Amino acid sequence: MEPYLVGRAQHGDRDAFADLAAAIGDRLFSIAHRILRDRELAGDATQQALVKIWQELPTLRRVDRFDAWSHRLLVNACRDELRRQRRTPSALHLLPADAVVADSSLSMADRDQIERGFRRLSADQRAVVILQYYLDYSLAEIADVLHLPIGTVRSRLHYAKRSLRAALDADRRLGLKETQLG
Amino acid sequence: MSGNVDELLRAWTDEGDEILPAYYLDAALRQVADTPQRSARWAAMRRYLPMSGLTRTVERPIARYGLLAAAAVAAVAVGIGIFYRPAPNVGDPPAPRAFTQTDVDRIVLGEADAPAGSAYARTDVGRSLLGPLWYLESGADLEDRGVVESRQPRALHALAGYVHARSNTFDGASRRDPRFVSTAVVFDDAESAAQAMTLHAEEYRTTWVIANPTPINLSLGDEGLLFSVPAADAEPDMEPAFFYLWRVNNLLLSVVAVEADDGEELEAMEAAVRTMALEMDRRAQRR
Repeated sequence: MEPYLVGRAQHGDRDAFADLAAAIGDRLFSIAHRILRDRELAGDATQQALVKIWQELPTLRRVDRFDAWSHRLLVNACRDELRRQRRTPSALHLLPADAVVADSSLSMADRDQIERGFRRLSADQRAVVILQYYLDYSLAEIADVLHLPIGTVRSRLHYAKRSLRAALDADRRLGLKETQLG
Repeated sequence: MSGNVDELLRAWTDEGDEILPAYYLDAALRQVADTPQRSARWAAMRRYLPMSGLTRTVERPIARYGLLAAAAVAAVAVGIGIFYRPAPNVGDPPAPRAFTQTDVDRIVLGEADAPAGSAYARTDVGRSLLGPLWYLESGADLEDRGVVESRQPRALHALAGYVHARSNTFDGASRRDPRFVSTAVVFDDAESAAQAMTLHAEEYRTTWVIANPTPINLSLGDEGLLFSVPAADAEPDMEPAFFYLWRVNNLLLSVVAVEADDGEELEAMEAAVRTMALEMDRRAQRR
């Protein structure tokens, strides 16, 4: 976060905002990509969030809350993108190759299973998971970002993990069965 | 499957960082170049100019759920209108006439109706009172006003049938005192008014983050809702608020109260805004 740039952009300085957008763009994109699992959707969501950040900046009363505030707008944009995607059945989104990073401690099987499990989650569940595991936000911080009571965050996280675990277990059982049949 | 879910998730989300393709950054900055900030027309307005009580309040997350509920109520109301048509009867009262611009000016609370402890501050008129589409002045070009492309059709539909809007604001002696806003928007017909509610609900739903709404039922007009942001849920930069939104035929009405401190003042504010809503509804029903 760049308080100086945020302050100037708040007062309508477009050059400062351009610098700010360049500074935070990659981070926002990384978050959006993790939530949406699609680079194009993540790019659209980031773009939408940046415009929204510009529009709403004057309403941000505390510059030190910029990160949480901008993440909230980004999560909203991701939610929009997911909804739009689901309203467009012709837009088939296969597992993109760019979602996979070669240099990782995860096995290919783990990654594939968790990827599929994650895609079954709702946008809100995905956001909570990413905020906690990628950004290392505490439950209180997630509640702050999403404007939710902590109890709601806890329950969303619980259901998301339960759902992931169930999906992963199902995949594992399927794999075992196929192995036995083979 | 190896490891537990926590470990897997942490490892999975830690996999590399992405770089935003320049195309998206450039596109955002191009859009920003043509997009006004809210500073001139929103932030300053919301802090100092008492215009736009509806818009002032709809930025509050609470409005999103409420207006979704409003949309559902509107759908039910429309459904009843379609499927339940009693047989004509000589004794039936005539259908209520549609509201006009003159009615709006009569129904919106005026100087003499200021809640205790506050005074009439100003009047605003025009379609900018229409919720989150505040930047749509009369004849505004949607693209020039920075409406995100995907929202343009909704924005246009939400304005369909718009005729006139008026809002009167009542301020307390200091900024910490409650502010009240009485607003009415008239449309060509009930369907347009209901549609505007629905579309605004969708707009709020996709634009604002949800807080912890506490809808309270109150019989107002054809369909009515009350939303509140309890003090316990209010953030440091978001005060408790009460927000009535309801529809009578082709008229959309709202009363908003914000910025009370906790305790007795909050109760007084809640009572005052309820009284204001009932008075506006009484005026609307008396045609």
